[in-house]
Amino acid sequence: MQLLPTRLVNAGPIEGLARMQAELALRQKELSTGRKADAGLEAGSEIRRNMALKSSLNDIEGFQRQNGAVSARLGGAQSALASIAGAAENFLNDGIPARDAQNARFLMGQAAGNALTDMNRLLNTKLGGFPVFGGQSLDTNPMKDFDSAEGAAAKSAIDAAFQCQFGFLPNDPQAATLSSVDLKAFFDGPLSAVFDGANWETLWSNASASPMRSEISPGVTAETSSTTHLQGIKDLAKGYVALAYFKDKPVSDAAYKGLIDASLGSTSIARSGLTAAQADLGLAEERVSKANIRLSDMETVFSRSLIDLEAADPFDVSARINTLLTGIEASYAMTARLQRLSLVNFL
Amino acid sequence: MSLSGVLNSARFALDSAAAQTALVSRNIAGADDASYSRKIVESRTQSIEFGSPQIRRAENPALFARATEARSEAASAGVVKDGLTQIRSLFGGDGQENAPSTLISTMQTALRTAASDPSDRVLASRALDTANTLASSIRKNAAALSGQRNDIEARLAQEAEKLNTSLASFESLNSKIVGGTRLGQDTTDLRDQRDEVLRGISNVIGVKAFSRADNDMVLQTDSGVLMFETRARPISFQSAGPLQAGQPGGRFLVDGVGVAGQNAVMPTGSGTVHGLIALRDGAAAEAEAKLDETARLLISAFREKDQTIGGTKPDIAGLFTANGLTSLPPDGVRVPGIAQRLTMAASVDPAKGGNIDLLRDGGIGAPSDNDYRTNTANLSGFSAQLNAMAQATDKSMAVDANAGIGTSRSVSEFSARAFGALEEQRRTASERAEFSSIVLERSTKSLASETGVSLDAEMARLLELERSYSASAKILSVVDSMYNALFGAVQ
Repeated sequence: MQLLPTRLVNAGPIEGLARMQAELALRQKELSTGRKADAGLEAGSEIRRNMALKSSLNDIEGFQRQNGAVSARLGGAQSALASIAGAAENFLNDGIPARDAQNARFLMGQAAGNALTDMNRLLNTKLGGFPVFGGQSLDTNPMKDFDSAEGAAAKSAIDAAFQCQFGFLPNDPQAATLSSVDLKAFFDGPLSAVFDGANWETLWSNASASPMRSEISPGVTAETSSTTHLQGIKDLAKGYVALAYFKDKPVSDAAYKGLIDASLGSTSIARSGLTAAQADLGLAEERVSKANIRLSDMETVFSRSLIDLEAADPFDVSARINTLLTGIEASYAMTARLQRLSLVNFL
Repeated sequence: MSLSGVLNSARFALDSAAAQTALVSRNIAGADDASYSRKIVESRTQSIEFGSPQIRRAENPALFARATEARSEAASAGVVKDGLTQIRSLFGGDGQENAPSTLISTMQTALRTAASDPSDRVLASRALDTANTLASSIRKNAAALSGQRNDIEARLAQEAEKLNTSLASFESLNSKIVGGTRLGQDTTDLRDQRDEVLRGISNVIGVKAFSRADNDMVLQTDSGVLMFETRARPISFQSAGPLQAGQPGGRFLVDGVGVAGQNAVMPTGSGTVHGLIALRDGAAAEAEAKLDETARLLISAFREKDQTIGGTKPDIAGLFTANGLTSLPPDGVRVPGIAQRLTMAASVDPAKGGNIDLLRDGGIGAPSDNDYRTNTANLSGFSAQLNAMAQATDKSMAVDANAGIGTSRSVSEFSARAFGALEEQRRTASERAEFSSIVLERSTKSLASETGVSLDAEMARLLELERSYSASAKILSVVDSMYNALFGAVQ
């Protein structure tokens, strides 16, 4: 039998060494990172699934972050509407007995003015700089301030409607001749028109008519803000403005009482409008919270599948490292022994 | 037999032992040389007949052929694997940070976040930033792929040069061997050298060697084109010049016959040349086609329409466009090289003097034409356009079937599948490289175990020669003393 060439005998144990050392480096990386050293090489085209999972997880995270802001926004709108509705309730409760009081005009005019200011303040609520009642107009306050210069146009619109109806301005002494029926008719007719449709947009509000919509979970869009274009708000504003504005105008107390009646009627109609708006917001809030539940379900499922495909099993890896170390040591020992084992040394 | 006959035999034995000792030392000197094959002296009777000792070498043509074949295969597989690793590295590490699909998903999230508060310019500029990163990453990767294909062209020219040099030294060695053999000289070391040159050739191209009389050799490519017969045949590479995207590369010619590249008549199946060309016209070209399609799909997904009712103006490129693009590319057809020109529209990029609000309002492609604007009411909180953009990457579109990923896909899905296809190619190539390197190792080893030198065997042989030498010397001294006795008796 022929002897094996010396080169092969000596190289024998070294041969596997390079491969073992390279693998050792990979396994050590896996042990320290807990992930497979080259998942793509192992998974091949299956890696596509992993990428889809990662991108979905990324999406879900984005949705969750943004839904937090959306919920806060909707919650803010909801609580503002609740405060406005509460104020309207108080106005009604106080107004019915006050109507027949001696100083009804002073009491009701004052109360209406305060309620109007409060309502405007609430509608101009901003959460993190985001006006929740702005609809899709986010640069300005949703409501114009009736008492400041912003309200000038609204005031002159009321004056114009008044003049058109009666032939003179509210400030005119002739106003004292108007009866309560006259003023009530004015309230229901021309004054209502000042608060409706396009007038609301130009005179009273900066908000856009339609609320903002955004995606709250993959493929699902929902309303994610509110707007001042709610019938309840318009009705309330009309009642408050009429009482506050005509408080100091030369109309008779008896005629003013007609306005009080009309305003209280409008306020009580507004209450049901507000309730409907609150219900709408509640639905939107519920939709968001349901979307959040679904997102966190998806997150759990996706991240579990991701681990399966990419994670390195630490027990498996450390067992493999032990085997490799043993192999490397053995090949060192063998090399040293083989070097000594040559016929030359014995001659 | 007379005493002088005995003396003659002993002298021959001494000669032979000296020749064999010289051979042992030659073998020992070559023990560490991988290309050295063990030399053996022909049996003594023959050496007496021919006058001088005949030396042959340990060889096994069948094993040698197998090792040569395995070397070509391993070279080809190694080149493909390395090339794919290089392509893969363009797309980032394990997180695939630079893969288009990852960047698309990041952009989608950023656009959606921007839609949650369209008036917030910080969110909008973050979305723009992701879009810009996506476009520039695709552009850079496409340029890198094109660079890789051109590098391969340059390397093929070098390989042709290398092969010519190798064949020239093969020719000079071969003629020395044939001449030497005819004169009865020892050509074994020359043949070792010739085998070494052949090994080098087999790295470059798949080669088959045939032996003829007088140790002459003929070389053919594995596809059967003659490379060497008495003299070397010319090897050349017809470079196709700087390669454009989608343009096939040059051909590799042996003796004027195409053995690799476009329309190769007798295509070789292994060797570096085969690997390089498979990479250039295969994996790298496919990756390039996929990037081109990804770029075209992006441009198409973010196209903008005439928003007026009954509007007839053509769709135009929106957020993404390409340098020099005049109209929207047709659907479902690859535009070669578009990935290298992909860019985010300057009209929306504040860094280039653009207006960031166009991202929310639409009309990026034609800022001065209000017909393409979606935010007609000029609302600062207009979210419809941003929402639509966030969904655009998930919308199915017509895809060029030649890209190998179906005919209708969304750009996110297309890019993810393209990446998956690349990883699959890399896995296959890596398995093939590993397998072929094992085959190479095994076949080299079995060849080496037949032709290599064992120091132990040589030392044992030396002991044997020492014994036979001292035995022959003893015989000489015995014959000498016999003559002495004889001459003494005569006196």
